[in-house]
Amino acid sequence: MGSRTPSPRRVLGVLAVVLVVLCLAPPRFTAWAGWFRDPMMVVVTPASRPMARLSSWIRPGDAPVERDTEIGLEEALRQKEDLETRYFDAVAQIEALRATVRELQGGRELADDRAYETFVAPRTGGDPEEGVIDVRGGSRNAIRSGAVAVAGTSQQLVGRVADVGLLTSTVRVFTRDKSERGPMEVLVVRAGVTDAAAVLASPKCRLEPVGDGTMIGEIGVGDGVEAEVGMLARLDDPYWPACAQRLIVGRVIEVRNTDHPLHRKIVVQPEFDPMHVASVVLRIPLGEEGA
Amino acid sequence: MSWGVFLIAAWLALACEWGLRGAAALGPTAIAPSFVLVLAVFVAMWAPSVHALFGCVVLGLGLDLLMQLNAGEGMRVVVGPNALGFLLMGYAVVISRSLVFRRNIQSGVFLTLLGGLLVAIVATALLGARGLYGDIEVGRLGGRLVTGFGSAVASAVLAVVMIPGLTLLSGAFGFRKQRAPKFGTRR
Repeated sequence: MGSRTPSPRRVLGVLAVVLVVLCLAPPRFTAWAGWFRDPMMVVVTPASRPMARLSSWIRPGDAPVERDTEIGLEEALRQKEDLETRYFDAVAQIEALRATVRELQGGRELADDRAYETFVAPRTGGDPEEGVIDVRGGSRNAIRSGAVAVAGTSQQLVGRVADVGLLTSTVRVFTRDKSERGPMEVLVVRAGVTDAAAVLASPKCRLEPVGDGTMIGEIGVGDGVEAEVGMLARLDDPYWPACAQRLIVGRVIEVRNTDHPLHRKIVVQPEFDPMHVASVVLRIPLGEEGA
Repeated sequence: MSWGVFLIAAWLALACEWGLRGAAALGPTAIAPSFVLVLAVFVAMWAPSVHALFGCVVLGLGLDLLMQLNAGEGMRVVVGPNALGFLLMGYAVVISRSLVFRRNIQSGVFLTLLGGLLVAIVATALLGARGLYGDIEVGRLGGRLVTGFGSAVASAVLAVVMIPGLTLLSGAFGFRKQRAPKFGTRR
């Protein structure tokens, strides 16, 4: 008795119907499909990680840190940026604490909402179409959705964790964020300004991703405020966790005139493409924010 | 077809797709060659029909699980768009493979280009339909389609290198043995 092989047309028909149903069924009936991603990533990540390293080598996102005892200019600048960010953050924290003290006088409980844990996560892959990168580290490493991803070698913002699997997490890169939460608020700081009060008093701007890796926004000028190429955009957006505030969003690379004489359009570009970082430092908020 | 060799090749292709896609992308766009597509075309060109279709579905499902879609604050896996696109692409290659000289690189390149276009159209259409529920953010379908077409062209360029390499390994896949003409009487 010979074995019967199903005809390709029948196989095609059955598979096509099953796949169309899976694809178009209401989301509540197909949510289980996401469970298979974790085992899939467990299998793929060991091979994709070396590929991602090769990818970062071919098209580097950030410069590798020199491990010599004598630090180079690049590393010194990185440390300067780091300290500046911490300094501005500390000043903002003092301001917030002062406000809390004032509120405590009305009976509110004191909570440290600026604390966070860090986790260094190498990139394992990414999808430029969706504007996401995958990093090694998941729920087993206590990573949670909403954690902030910062480039491993500077204070450059990379994005926010949008999905956490067992061993990998998906970071949505801020320059390609397609979600409808609206523009990102930043402080536009003049180059070389280190006075925290001056930084916090810098003009605010709302930046929107263009799609080519840059962001665009409008800024008011006048009264001593000017828009210049080289200004630094630092995050100052209540939507983002406190541990992300004052991180570097990018530098102003172009200033354009608008119809309004006191308004300028600025184009901001990150100091390197966040899609190509070799690794990120995840800042996982603690306390109420983390929960 | 040797399913073990196919699964290893699929694993490597998916890892290359996920790990190298960023570096292989054209400038700031998402246009990038697809290792998985070239492997699927190769399998569809050489494997027995039913095996070819199943192989294409497996590769498409792998891509669907890898490529999550933006869904509000989180991400969502949608199973089907790539799997169905690859299935139809596989079928198109299976019915047209008798018309081309399979050992010719140009055939592989041409079928990769056509297959890529077909996958882009099917996947975009399905995502557009699925996007009507409002649970995923599909974005502009025109832009997605252009990216898909661009990726098909980039994949055809990749096929120039990959198809000859895979053809050399066709014995390991179990294709050469299967396709050898049988002369003489059956024992």
